[in-house]
Amino acid sequence: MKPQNKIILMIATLIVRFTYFLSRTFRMGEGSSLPGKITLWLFPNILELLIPRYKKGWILITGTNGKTTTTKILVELIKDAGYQVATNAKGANLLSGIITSILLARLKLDQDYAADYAVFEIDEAVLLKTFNLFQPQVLVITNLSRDQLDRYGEVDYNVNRIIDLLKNSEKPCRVALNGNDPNVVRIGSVVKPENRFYFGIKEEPAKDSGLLYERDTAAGGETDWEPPQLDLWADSLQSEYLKGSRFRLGFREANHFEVAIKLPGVYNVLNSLAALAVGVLIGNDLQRMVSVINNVTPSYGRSEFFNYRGASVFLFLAKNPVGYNHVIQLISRSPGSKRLLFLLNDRVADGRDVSWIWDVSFNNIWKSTEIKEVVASGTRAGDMALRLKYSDPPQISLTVDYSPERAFKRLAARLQPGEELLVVANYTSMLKFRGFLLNLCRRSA
Amino acid sequence: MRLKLAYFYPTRMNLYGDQGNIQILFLRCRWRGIDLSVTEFEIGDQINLTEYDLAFLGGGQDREQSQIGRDLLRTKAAELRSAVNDGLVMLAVCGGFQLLGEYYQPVEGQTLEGISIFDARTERGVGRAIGNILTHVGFLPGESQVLIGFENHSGRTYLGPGCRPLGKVLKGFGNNGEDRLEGARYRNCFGTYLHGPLLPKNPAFADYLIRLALERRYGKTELAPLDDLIETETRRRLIKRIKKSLLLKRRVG
Repeated sequence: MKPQNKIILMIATLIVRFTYFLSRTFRMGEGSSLPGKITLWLFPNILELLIPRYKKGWILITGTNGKTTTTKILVELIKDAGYQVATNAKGANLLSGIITSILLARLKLDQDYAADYAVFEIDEAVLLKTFNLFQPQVLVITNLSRDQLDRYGEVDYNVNRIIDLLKNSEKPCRVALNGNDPNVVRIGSVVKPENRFYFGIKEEPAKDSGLLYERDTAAGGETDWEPPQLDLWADSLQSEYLKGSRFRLGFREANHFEVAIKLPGVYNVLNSLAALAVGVLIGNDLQRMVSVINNVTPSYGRSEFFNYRGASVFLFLAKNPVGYNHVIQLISRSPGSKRLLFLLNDRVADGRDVSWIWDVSFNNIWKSTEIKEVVASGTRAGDMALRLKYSDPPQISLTVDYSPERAFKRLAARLQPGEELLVVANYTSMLKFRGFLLNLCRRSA
Repeated sequence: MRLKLAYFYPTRMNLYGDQGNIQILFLRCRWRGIDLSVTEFEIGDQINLTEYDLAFLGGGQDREQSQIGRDLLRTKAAELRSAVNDGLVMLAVCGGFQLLGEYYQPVEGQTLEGISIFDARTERGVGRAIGNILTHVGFLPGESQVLIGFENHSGRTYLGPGCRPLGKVLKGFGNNGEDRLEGARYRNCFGTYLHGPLLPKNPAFADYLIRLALERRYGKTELAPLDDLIETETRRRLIKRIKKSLLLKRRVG
């Protein structure tokens, strides 16, 4: 590395660590965004210095849902294979967050490389702007559905832009694609077969549940589409509800493995498959990966478990219709009495438009007869309460409390022995609530 | 009592939670013992609206909108026009509103011919109008005169003398950002850019539509009041929040 570039990286590192420390100390949020923003402003070309510092290149994970969990699983798989990995652990997937993550980690400026792999989740809109800069070895697309229309625009537009990127990419990029999602398969049709790897669930029941993609609306893609031949797949799915899932893993007719993951829901089967697919693409041993994947625990606020004074509390991130429907299906099918808290914010990072909650099939939640009460909270608590009211619930208590903290404490106080408290929150409401809950559990422990 | 609603293109024109409007009408009827039956119409379906009291047309992506525009002209325009002239109560949101005008120019592609129920033309805009919006309408009582919604559209709609606006913009962009007008009304047919969706946050407007439909079929009727505690409190907070928030300024550019 040129000496002047080394100096730039040293200065940038100092700035990032200092501003990160400041923003954490003064509680200006998670601190993952501001340091990167300042660095980008001072050194607009810093990415060109950072990108080549990973010996085996970049693996980017994008899509509407499942980015964070897929990234977490993949990082564990690659680390287990003996490689050093850089990643964005807290789901900071905008350019600023990626830069912060890189500069907070060990940079090893005295060496040629900072790590073997850079495994990063990336926001769909950011990917569109920076794909050629990163020139990733592998691109993973978990799924594509409607999300924050006021920010990302319509799905069709994004699908077409990704198609253009892959068509015009200078270096061939290998892609791991969700073969259950028609929008993603549409992208796959322009990629050369040798660079394309499909993962997915093979069973009809899973397909019919309407959960694998947004099948009920035009925004979910073509109504008539040909599912592709899957390279890596799961079948014989068995849900253990909030505790996880079991399935049989198949790879190109050759191998079958029994897998039991600790992450709940069909969507986490797909996230696991996505991570395994990349592992296979970069040459990891499948059997070994299976033993690792069985022990992966949920990431940051994604069906995360908390013990609050002996009671079970689960926190689910759900920030768009498809993701929400997954969580609702999981909740409605899992046995046991429960009380529910729904948090809805409309901050910039959430998308200011909360209309999407009307595309969520909340009526499915009432299939469970074991829901004792529901509370709506967050900056748009009223919108959430109205959505619940008009999902035609049975005669149970539905109340509004604009303070999530107060709502939680009151709900927790009403919990009967054996009841679970489930919190479903969109992005910023999850971040804030998780911090509060962690503190509360620590203090009461 | 019974009412029938025609729901146009539920799978293709259902962006931004549009079907929420149907749910609100359905439940607010049911809670009063009115049986509202919903029939869905898709591309290619011929329609006969003589039996119908209400109709709904939502918004879609540009790709869907051009398919829908062609189908409306081909199989539904004449019947819809005559039903609206006969007093059919209709609500069209966003893309649906645009297609009930004379034409709509999308950002990319050809101008789409509308079915000219509204004397309105939608021109191509620079940038999208995105944000919370408050509109004042004259025909609702008291506090409920403020309609709350969210708008997200690139088209700029201009009304001619053949129809009235739905209301005046209090906060937000509205039809075109120039004349402070929002939506359109011709007889009992209403067009608007407000989604969010519109009716859950504006239950008085939902009831107004139901009452118009009942009066057309059964003569003068009174609607039983409902428990709107959550609605009223949510409206109070939202109006305050939208009025004062600087962050909620519209993004057009």
